[in-house]
Amino acid sequence: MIEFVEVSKNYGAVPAVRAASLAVRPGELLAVLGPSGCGKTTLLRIAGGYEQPDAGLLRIGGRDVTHTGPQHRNVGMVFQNYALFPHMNASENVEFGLRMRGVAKDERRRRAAAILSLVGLDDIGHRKPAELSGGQQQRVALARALVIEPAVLLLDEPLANLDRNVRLRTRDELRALQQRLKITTILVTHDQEEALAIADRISVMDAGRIVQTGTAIDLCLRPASPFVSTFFGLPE
Amino acid sequence: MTRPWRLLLLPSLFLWLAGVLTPLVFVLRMSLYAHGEGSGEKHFDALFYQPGTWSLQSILTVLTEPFYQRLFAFTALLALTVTTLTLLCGYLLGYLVYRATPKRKILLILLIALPKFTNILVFVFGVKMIFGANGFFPVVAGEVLLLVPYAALTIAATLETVPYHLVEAARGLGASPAAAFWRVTFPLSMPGVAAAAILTILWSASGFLGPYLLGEPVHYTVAVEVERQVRQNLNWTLAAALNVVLIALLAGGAYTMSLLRRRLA
Repeated sequence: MIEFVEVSKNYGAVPAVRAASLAVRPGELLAVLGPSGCGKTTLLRIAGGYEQPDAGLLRIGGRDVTHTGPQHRNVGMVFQNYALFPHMNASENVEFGLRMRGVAKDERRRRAAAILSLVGLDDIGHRKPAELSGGQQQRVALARALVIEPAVLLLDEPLANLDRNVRLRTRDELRALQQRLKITTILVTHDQEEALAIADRISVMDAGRIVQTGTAIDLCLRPASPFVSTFFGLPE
Repeated sequence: MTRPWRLLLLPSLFLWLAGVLTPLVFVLRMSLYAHGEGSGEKHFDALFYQPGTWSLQSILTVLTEPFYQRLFAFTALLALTVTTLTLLCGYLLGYLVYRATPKRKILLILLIALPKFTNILVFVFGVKMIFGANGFFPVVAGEVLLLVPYAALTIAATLETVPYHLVEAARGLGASPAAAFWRVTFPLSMPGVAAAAILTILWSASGFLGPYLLGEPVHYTVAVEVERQVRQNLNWTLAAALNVVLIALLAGGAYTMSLLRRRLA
């Protein structure tokens, strides 16, 4: 489980996240939804340890990790452009986190193959990222984040770079996998449909603030502000 | 012609033919004349070479005489020393540029290129004043300082193509900053290092001013000896032969490096 307490982050004089509080429950998939520039990616980067908040606290599994470096957080992140290492093949990409944890080579191979098979990629371990399709790259990135058995999975617009039909299929597979592994997940997206389709709860962000957090039904029936209702295409 | 834009290459092709290939052909021909009779003495009526002759005399002299073997060995030693140091310093500077904020990036690039705004003679005399006496270290320092800007900018340009997301991904997977550098950034910057190495080796192996102005005669390179043969000894065939051997060695080296580079890329 992961918890933001009154987290703020400014870039110079520009506030990116303002006093955001949010608690993601164990095993839950929470979507952070908002238009571009609303601060949702900054929130995710704070969770991953890639940005230091100016104020507030961040707890993962009850432990204060506000000032902990990304390598000590045990958080798995899937970047929007996947950030696969181009000089390593798919298996080496997946093994990287295990290698950094000192896992022996045979064990690494075995676990990488198992997790690649779990995300539906058998027999592509020897291929370089450039030789994979967008959908395959996305799965390798997911496998790479999952193999380290992270406390929290962070997904930054994981489906944005996929073709529509691949996207819908991947979305459902992602949800099924998340429920099967019961892994606490934050998914950042600007796509309402995507959030409604796979999230347990949704946090709507606007101009750096979390405007409302709740289930899809809460948000549609009891929107906290006109912004929320218009964002879901409902009358104000 | 199916690709008319290729016509645009004609001017540079002409320049290359006239400015690079033709002189090289002349040098090659010059290295194959017999020695002039006046070699070694400064007669005004001396022949610098014997027209109309064909001879391997000069090339064989260069290849077999211990003096010239030592000359090439020293040139190679200098080039390797200079290249190693230049790549080390160049990588550090290039990495600083890579990690700098956009504003500082421009400032840093200007600072790195600044020595190139001064006249090379002024620059070399500046190095001479720092060291006081001539010797191996001043030669190395002078050549490194002359070449570091090229290496740094080449390496910085390649580092810029490494997305910082990759480093972040590595950190998130448990890599320390050092591990992320050695496993991700460094391997991906190798093509730039190889390009910088080719540049530096070629330039330091044909270095003239540094060794000439900062070194004792034992630190003279092939290029200095060529100048001596052309202007003092008036032995043009030997000068040309030295050049031909140097070019052959460098071309061979550059070819090997480019094969290596292709494998790394």
